[in-house]
Amino acid sequence: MMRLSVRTDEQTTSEIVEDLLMKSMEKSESRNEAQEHMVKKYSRAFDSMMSKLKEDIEGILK
Amino acid sequence: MALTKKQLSEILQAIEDRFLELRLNTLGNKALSKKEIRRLQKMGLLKTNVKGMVVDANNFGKLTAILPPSKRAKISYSDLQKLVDKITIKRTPIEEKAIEYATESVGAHIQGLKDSMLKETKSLSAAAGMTAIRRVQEEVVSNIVNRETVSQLKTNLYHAFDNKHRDWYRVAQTEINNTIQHAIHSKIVEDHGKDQLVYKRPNPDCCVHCRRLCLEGDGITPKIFKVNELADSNFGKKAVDWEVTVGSLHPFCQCQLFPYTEGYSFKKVSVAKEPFKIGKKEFKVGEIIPTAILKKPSVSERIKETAILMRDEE
Repeated sequence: MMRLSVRTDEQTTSEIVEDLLMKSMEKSESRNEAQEHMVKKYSRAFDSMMSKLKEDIEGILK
Repeated sequence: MALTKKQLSEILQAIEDRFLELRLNTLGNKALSKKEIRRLQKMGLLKTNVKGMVVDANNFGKLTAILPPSKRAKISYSDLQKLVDKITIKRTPIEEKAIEYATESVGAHIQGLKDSMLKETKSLSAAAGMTAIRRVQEEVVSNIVNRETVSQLKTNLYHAFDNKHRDWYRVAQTEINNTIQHAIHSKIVEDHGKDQLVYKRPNPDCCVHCRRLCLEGDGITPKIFKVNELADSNFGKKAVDWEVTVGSLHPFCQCQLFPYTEGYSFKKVSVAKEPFKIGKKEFKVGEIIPTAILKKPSVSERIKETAILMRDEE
């Protein structure tokens, strides 16, 4: 198991991992959900930048 | 003329500024110089405590390295964030350096995209200017020409910009996977040593190269490697010379690194690829289908073959 020595007041790290994992598994069936979410999040950051840039250009050229 | 010098200069500055903001949002505060931070502050775009995708991906790798394949795939991003908030993730100086290099690598991709957009903007603007001049020479009323040319220039510019989305998506997907796999690799070496056996699990829709390099001839069973035998990168190599790497084997690669547990071996099983019901028994996606049920013809289209790591019974 992961050797993380941090302990919260009530739960050890492995208990927290297991606890959240079980909840997570109930919600999701997709593969590598967190990884895919991460890719989408940073992909959206680019799209958002592009939208703002287009607004900037519209402002400059109006 | 299509654009005035002032307009072109303002557009180029807008590209610089928006890419600076993108670097903050994707690579975090630490990746920016003091001058860049001051610029963002001046524009009211500065945010604090932005970690960025490399640190995010490293956290994910460190936390999921301990999880078996089925569990790793199913942890959600929000639960991952909750874990990161609760746990102090310790990193060795080597890992910190690896994060720094990965950040530099993504930064170089962002710089490349920005330079390409600046270049295209300048050349499209020049081409639009030439078109406008030709049309005015053909005695078309000048201000109508300018209006039409600017409108066409915007269309061309936006089209060129939109083409960058795929480039960025490739960077995000490849670099995030790369960082995650390197973090998993570090955790495996830290916990089990450099002689630990590992395997790479490609996705079912993986490319022929990942299938060839990571799986046995049956196309299902993963090959086993020593963790220190994995190559660093396939960058600059021809596909025929590719090796199994710690991180992404190639752009868009999503193969995952797992430690191989002693006393376990891979068993071929059939799993549900879509939810279905036989009698009173309901099968969820990924659930193993018992052999007796497999004989029923209606099940055949709803399954796929895979190899899973199970404890040897003998």
